Amino acid sequence: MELLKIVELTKCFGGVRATAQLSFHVADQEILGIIGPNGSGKTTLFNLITGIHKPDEGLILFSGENITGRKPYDVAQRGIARTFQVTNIFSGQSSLDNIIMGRHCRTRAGVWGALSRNKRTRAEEKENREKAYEMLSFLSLSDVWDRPAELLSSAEQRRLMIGISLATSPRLLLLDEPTAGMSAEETAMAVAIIARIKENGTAVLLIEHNMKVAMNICDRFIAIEGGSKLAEGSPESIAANQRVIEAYLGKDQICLN
Amino acid sequence: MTDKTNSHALYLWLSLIGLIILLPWFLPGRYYLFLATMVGIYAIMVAGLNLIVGFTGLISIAHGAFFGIGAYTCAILQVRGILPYWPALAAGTLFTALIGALVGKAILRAKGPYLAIGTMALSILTALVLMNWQSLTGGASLGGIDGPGVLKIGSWHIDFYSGKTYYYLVYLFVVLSMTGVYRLIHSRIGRAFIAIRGQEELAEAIGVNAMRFKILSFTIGCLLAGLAGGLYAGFMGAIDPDIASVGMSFNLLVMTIVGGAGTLSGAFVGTVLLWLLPEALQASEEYKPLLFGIILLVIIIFMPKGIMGRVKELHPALNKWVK
Amino acid sequence: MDQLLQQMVNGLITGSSYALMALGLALIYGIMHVANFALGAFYMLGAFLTYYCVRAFGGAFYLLSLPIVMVIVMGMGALTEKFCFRKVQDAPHSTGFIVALGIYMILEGGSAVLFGDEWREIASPYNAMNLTLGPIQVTVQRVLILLVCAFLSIAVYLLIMKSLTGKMIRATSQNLDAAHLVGINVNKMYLLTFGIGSALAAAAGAMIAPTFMVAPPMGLGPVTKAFVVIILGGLGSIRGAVIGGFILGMVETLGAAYISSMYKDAFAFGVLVIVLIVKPTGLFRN
Repeated sequence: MELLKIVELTKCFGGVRATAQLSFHVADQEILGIIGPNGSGKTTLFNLITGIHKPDEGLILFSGENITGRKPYDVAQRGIARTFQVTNIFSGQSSLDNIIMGRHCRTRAGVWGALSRNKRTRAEEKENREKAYEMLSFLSLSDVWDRPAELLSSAEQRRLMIGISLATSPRLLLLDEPTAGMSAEETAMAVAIIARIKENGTAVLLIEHNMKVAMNICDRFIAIEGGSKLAEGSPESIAANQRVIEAYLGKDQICLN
Repeated sequence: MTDKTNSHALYLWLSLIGLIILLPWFLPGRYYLFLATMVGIYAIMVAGLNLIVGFTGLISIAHGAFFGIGAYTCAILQVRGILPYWPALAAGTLFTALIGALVGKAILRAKGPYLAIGTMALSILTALVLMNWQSLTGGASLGGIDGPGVLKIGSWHIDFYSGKTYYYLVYLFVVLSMTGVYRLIHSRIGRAFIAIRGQEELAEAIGVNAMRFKILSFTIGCLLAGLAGGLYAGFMGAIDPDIASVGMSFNLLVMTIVGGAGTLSGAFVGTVLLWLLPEALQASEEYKPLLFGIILLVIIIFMPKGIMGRVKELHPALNKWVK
Repeated sequence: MDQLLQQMVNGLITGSSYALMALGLALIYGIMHVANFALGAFYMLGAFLTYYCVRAFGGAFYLLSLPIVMVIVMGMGALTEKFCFRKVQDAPHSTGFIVALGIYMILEGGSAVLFGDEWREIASPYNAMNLTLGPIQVTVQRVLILLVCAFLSIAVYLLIMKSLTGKMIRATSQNLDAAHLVGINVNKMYLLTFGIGSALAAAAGAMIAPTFMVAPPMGLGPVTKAFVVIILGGLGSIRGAVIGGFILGMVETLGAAYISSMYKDAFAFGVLVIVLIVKPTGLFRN
């Protein structure tokens, strides 16, 4: 079942082609890895899917529905969440409040609910806190639940960022280099989290430079260069693909573990 | 910033309400009662501006214009005999909110200095219209506003011409407004506002329709300004287009920022301070813009989060007591 | 047709003062990304200082007072940069705007206290002299406005585009770190730019004032209009500021002549609001 289908996606900025007739799909509950050299258009792809940029040509279909060019908040409400290459969290708020923030589009209290604090609103707020505590524990952030987000360590912040996007209960999660800047230990923690995300039923589209991580965790790969698809397939076939190796990995083969 | 019943803040709030109730009996004269009532009227609209500027991060220099629209709508409806005071007040408040929503929808796509100057331009335009559309607004002055008058309920008389009674009326609305804004801030809606203020891109990425919430915040802020306007009209009996001037909008902005944009208590503190300080210094009316300018400059350079913002920074424990 | 020509000339003249002020704003925005509303106060101070010069030394002194007034205000502008704006340069942009607002309020309020808030006239002799150029009637004062404003605009434009100092200013505007790296005294550039911008505003005020009247709040409208110009022309764009200033002057004068003179000021602001609705990022990008 194709959860996300990208068809002939094309985007130019000025004279530069960031994405060129890119086509691929993400299946339900799979982890698809995107690899490619710097500047090959991976983050642009995320920006196109989530609506930050509008593509010049092509289609983005999510669960069969055409979401091409829809606004970011609309895409998020439909069930696609993302993290950013540069850590993006709500400063001045505690970790708990950050996660609660993520639950925004899955809750409904409006102005009347806020003013009257009726039963439904209070129940919703209670559920928000409970689910947020669960999420923090899932991310091994329980100890820092009330610390202001900007005071967390870099790795903690990146996990928090994942948590915020997970709190939107997405069906597809776009992770942009989640392990960037992490130590081996922190990376292992992140990998475990991503694996459990898949187990819990969310598909993942993963941009990752750390090949060990990527090879370990991804079900399939696509390799991109200059905005076009270079290759697609299983970890083994990608690792053996000559063009991928030349473009991205240098002339040596990659180790699979 | 989501908490359940915050008992510390509640005690403080209740004591404050007690103080407000007792105050008129301790004031040494009519003038001070007048002052206290004006503080209340201003506090309502500064709370509104605080919502827009402090919690949602939008610079608006049009708040005075909405105050004026609220005042004039209420006044015109009553002076022309179209509606008695209470429905006129409600109509003025709602009409101002409506205009706020329309203006917001039109102009809130602009950001930063564009938005600031745009709202300033709207402010100037509003004052211009109020002055020049003489047939509607009476031009340089609109008088003969009866206000709520004497309310007869059965055999009870509530005489709103009395200073004390009007004081309690205004502060009833102050308490209602502050409670409303407090609840709003500590809710899903308030969280959305704060998210937009700090990180709009991230907010959008998690499903917050930033434009819709900006308009909502602006509308609520304008509603409060309209309410304050209607109360002002009923209080003063006569109004003039100066109340919608850019100068008024500047003053309101100063009160918001000095008190602490982004803190609810700041709205009240800023209003009280900027009304009492000129009194304490025995500064006449002409010194006020200079004084306000100095205070604004000093605060924005040395204490950009305002007085209450700084207080909360220095004593985080106080967060339990003060919002 | 004669009427049209007359109004167009009037529009050009008014436009030249807008262009000058907008130029000052654009320069400052370009280098420090701050929307310096205080220029409205410097406009007013330019007028007031000229008023007092003329009162002290007589109407013939009017033109001579211009460079003096400009230098004084230039110093004031540099002071505001050093003691106010520089302190908040790392804060979000809105903080700089609030600082500018504070300075404006202090200067306008202070002037009201010091000079009183009645409207006064500057007795410039050129106001009474008339010139007739074909079908167009114009006072010498107004010709002077055009000449001085155009001259200053071109002078500053050349300064910025051609001179070494101008290049340094532009470098600082474009890339602060690079400017540091090549050894530009960035702080001096800040002082200079703010000074020049303020002086230009003062010049505009000094030139316009004799055709109008002088009082502390006189700068509010003009500076807001100057902002309209740079928002339309591109926030940091020098060319946009100058061209936009002239265009706004024309639109406003023609509108006042042919549509409604009561709402004359409304044209600039109405245009702004419409543009912001349609294109919230302004008409051009810098």
